[in-house]
Amino acid sequence: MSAPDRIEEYRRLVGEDPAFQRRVWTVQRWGWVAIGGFVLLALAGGLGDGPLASAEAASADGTLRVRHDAVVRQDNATRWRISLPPGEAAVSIASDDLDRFAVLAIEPTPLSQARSGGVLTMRFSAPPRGATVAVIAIEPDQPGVLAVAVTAGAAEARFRLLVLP
Amino acid sequence: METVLKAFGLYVALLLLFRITGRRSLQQTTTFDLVLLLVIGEAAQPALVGDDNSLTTAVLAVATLLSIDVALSLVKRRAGRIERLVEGQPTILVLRGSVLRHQLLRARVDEADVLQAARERQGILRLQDIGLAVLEANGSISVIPVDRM
Repeated sequence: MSAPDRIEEYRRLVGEDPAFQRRVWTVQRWGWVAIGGFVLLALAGGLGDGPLASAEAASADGTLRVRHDAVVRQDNATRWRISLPPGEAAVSIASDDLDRFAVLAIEPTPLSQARSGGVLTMRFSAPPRGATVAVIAIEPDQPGVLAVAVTAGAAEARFRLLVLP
Repeated sequence: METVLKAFGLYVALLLLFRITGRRSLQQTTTFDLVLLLVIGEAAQPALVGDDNSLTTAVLAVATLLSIDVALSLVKRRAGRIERLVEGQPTILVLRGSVLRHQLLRARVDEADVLQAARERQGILRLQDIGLAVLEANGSISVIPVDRM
């Protein structure tokens, strides 16, 4: 039996489908671009812990401000920096998903704190001058979107954060 | 439940990532590649079991990964197209001493890899003595001498 000369015959013999292979290679090239984009997105903070993830929510009058990460990761601590309106020393954090995150630390230590249903209330000692700034470290333990409302007196700031698995 | 979902997600993600980054010849596997594989394993492990050191979770994670692997192998047996997608397919690199450069370039293999396989498997030293060199789906390079074609 003579050996086949045409490459198509050898391709058939070894099971190579050039059209399929070209498509796979093309998809792979686009996949490299996608992986590169994913890494760049992470570098920019799009997956949390970076400038893109950093956000601030404020009340309508701007006296209550909450700096937070809009994108966080499950089982990773994140911090909310809450600037209370002048004269206010109590703040409430309300969320239907309060049981989906653990409060790890509150700075300064509140005079009192209570958790009831979906509301965590904290009372701080009023600072000698200026507004009270509280930093709360939380750790979400489930992925999803958390909707949070922070209230101090009549001021309310609402924000959402995406928790990545 | 979370362990099963995480294991499933990790399996799919790793399968996609490794398929996208492509198949290189096993001849090109360096010590650094092996170190990289170990580091990848270390990076993936916490996402799989987290802080849970229990035997139950470890066995569940391994059982889930193996179950998915078995299921995928059954699917691949039934659907050739899926098998080719997941495993890749053979690629001819050299035919009758002529290097198919475009194929080599796309498969990220070079002549030296082909010649190494030729020396190791067939004792062939020259490219023109290679009848057919094929990068197999498993990353090995098969070489058939020109006088056996």
